[in-house]
Amino acid sequence: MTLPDAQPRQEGQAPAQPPQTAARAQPLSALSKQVLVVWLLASAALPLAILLPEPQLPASRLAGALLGAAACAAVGVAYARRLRPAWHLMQACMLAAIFLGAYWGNRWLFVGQSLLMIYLYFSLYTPEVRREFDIHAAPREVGVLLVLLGMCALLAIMRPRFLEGGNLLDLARQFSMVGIMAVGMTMVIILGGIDLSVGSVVALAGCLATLAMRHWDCSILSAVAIALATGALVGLFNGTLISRFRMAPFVITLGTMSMARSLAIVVTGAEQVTVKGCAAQPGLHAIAWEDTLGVPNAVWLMALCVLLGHVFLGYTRTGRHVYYVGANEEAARLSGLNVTALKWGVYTVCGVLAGLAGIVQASRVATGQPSAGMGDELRVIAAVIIGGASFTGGVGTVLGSLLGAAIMGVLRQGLILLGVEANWQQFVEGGVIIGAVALDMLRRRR
Amino acid sequence: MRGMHKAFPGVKALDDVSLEVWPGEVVALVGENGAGKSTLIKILSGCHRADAGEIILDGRRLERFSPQQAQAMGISVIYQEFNLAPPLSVAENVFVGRQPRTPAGTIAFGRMRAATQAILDELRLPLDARRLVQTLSVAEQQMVEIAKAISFRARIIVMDEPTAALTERETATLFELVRRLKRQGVAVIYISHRLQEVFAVADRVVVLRDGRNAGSLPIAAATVEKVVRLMVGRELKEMYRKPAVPAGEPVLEVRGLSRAASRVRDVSLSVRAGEIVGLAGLVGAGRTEIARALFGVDRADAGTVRVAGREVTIRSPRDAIRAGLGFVPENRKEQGLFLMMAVRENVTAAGLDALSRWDFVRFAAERRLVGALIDQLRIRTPSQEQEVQYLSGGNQQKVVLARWLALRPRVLVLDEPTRGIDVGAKAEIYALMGELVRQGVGILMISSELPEILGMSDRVLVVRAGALAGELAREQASQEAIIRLATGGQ
Repeated sequence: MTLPDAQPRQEGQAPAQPPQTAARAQPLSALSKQVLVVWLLASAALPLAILLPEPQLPASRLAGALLGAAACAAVGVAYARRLRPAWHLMQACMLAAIFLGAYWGNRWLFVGQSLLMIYLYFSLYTPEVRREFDIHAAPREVGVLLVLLGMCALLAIMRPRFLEGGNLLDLARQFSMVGIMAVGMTMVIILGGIDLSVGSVVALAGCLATLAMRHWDCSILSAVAIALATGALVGLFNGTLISRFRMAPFVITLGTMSMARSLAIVVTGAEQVTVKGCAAQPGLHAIAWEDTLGVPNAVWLMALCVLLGHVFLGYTRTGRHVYYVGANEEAARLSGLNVTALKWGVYTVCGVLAGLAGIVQASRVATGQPSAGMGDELRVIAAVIIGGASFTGGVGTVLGSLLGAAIMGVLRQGLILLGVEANWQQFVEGGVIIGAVALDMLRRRR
Repeated sequence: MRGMHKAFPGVKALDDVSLEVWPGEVVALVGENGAGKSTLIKILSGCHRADAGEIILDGRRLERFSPQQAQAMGISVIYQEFNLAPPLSVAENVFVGRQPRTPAGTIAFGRMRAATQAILDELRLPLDARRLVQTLSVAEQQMVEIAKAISFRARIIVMDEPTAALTERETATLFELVRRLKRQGVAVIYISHRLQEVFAVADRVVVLRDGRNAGSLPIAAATVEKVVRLMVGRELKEMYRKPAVPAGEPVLEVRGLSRAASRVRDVSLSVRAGEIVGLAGLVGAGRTEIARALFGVDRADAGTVRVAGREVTIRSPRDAIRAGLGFVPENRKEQGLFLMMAVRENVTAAGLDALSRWDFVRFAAERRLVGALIDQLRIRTPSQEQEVQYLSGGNQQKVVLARWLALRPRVLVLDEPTRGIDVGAKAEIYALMGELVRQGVGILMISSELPEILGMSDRVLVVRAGALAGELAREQASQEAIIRLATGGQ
């Protein structure tokens, strides 16, 4: 899931050569001219798509017109040979158009812009064009984003329902659980480990929280705290064994996966925990089923986790230390990093996030179920690997994992929309996991 | 091989390189690290494919081929890391993957053993085909590799640094074998950093520099100076430029350092500001173990450490770094570098504390610091963001050094600081060490290369069996004196 010549981790690099001065004299290459043609098409597609007969508000026409104008401006800027700013302006326009297309349910806009963008990156984003435009290699996540856009565009063409009636928000609600867990899993996998226990923690945390609501009639905040604490305890247990006693993460978390699942069944007596009539019931309901500013609360929760995770891994010292340990544990130790504490912390955070996902899950089904989250560990790991992380450690980003979670979500809903029998879903998901790992291998071999 | 080209991301590894080998000829391929020797060999063996150029074997042009096909055509490569299965016998290793079969389809062990023994005898190798490879010494394993190559009827055998792990006597045996192969009409391409060996065994020396042919000399016309000049492209003046710095106050004092688990016994030493102390000894004498115990990688059982006169407790590398120590480990790829991370991230791995505020990394300050260090150490890299795995060995070592320089340590412990790096980079690292002592840093240098120890050290400490066997001042130190102390001989 990577671009032909994507070099990761290039962001923020100072431009290598002084722009335009030399380039201005030379004519553009054929490929760069193609890029400009795609731009022209993209900006022409904007007003056209907005005028097509699909339900819209007057305000949307105004937004569309502005966007079209901005795209035309980008072409103008490019004509004046200021290629770098033009490139960035155009990317922003196309992304905004794709987003608005999804938001308005305008599939012409959505599909058209997505396809143009995919074409732009996959066919034209060559070293030659990059040099002439004076732009850097795209971060690895762009490849994942394009795959996601391609899948969405395909579905939007085949099943118009895909974009309609807030379906996308519903989709986001569905994968928010996986998305939340993927943040913690990203850190674990960057660290070179794995956590198989998250699915069982979802069940255990959800069951303990709902039990507390029913038997002690506690508030929703206490219930959330109980769920998070449950996750933290399992994570601490994992982290302690893995970091202090240097046991293999795969074995330890396989063990806790089994233990946590069993505990969930024991505490509930293998029955659903209903929370009907409890004081906290409306609060629980609100997490997954109510919106704030038009977006489901669960999606806000996921966005918050992703944002915090992204900032942590990308911009803080401790986050960077996670990459160091994953890339080479021995070198990290010799560089004075506290490897034990880092592992401990990362597994704990992963557990806490699984606990949070447990509450979201309990809210979605309005009960505590000992069988909840079964198989989620695989879905989460798949999301992280699709998002560009590698089992060898040291590589991966939270944004990539979010996109990976979205791909898993779209895949799931897409299969339903396309009428694939439900029993085949896990088969396809398994195939995608294998495909993602195979891609990871190919990526490393290059 | 004619006009070979090969480019890797960010580097042009080979630029129009040609190599010609005749039957029964021993060609030594030399060049600095990163000159393109390994790349050339990997193309020849089918591991990589050239971007341009052609390979002609016996007048026939070879198209894309795999390592297996190369082997079948008579091109065998013996890498530094052997491709042997330790739990199997010599015979099984020689015939791995193409064992002779009995009519029933099982392996014909008897025939296989006999065939192997025939090859071994023909090469006059004192080995039994039935022995298990894990019971063999490194030199004997190498012989198995050569026997394997011969069993393929190899006409070209490539040896990559074959003597890196051999003793002198084993090396002599190997040379004897190479000469015998030569008489049988086998062509040998011999890659080595050790020029003396090249002169002992080769007929012709081919020098690569920066991915190009730098020259080819018949051995009769070659001298060490000529070859070195071709390798580095410039005259090498005095390699070891140890400035005369008056030693100052002791910056590191170690008393009674012991660690039973790694056989470190009662080591007491001191390093003064502006002083380079060499730590010599045989491989396995415990030099690295002393450094690791000192730096807190392995926790010491007993002993006190004073840095700049203040007693410090070192229980982890973290404590050691805080006390003002730096440690360049002997194996930079496994212990020093984060290979898939950028040069920038590698340089600041130990020093992010000073480069962050409220745990947020100050990227601008980080880039400024790394940029300055890249200039100061002359690290050759296209940018700070280049993944460190694409750098040459010498530049990788400089990245590890830069990590410690960023911390401005009082004492630097260098474990084999120039292992596996080329002559030019070595000289640069020596110059850098000189610069550091001028600034008042104390250096404790572990090295197996005696010329390096003798050239750079103010004092030499010799280690034997985990304890200090003696100390030699610069004037007293000689190869003989060091070896006498290291071996315990009289």
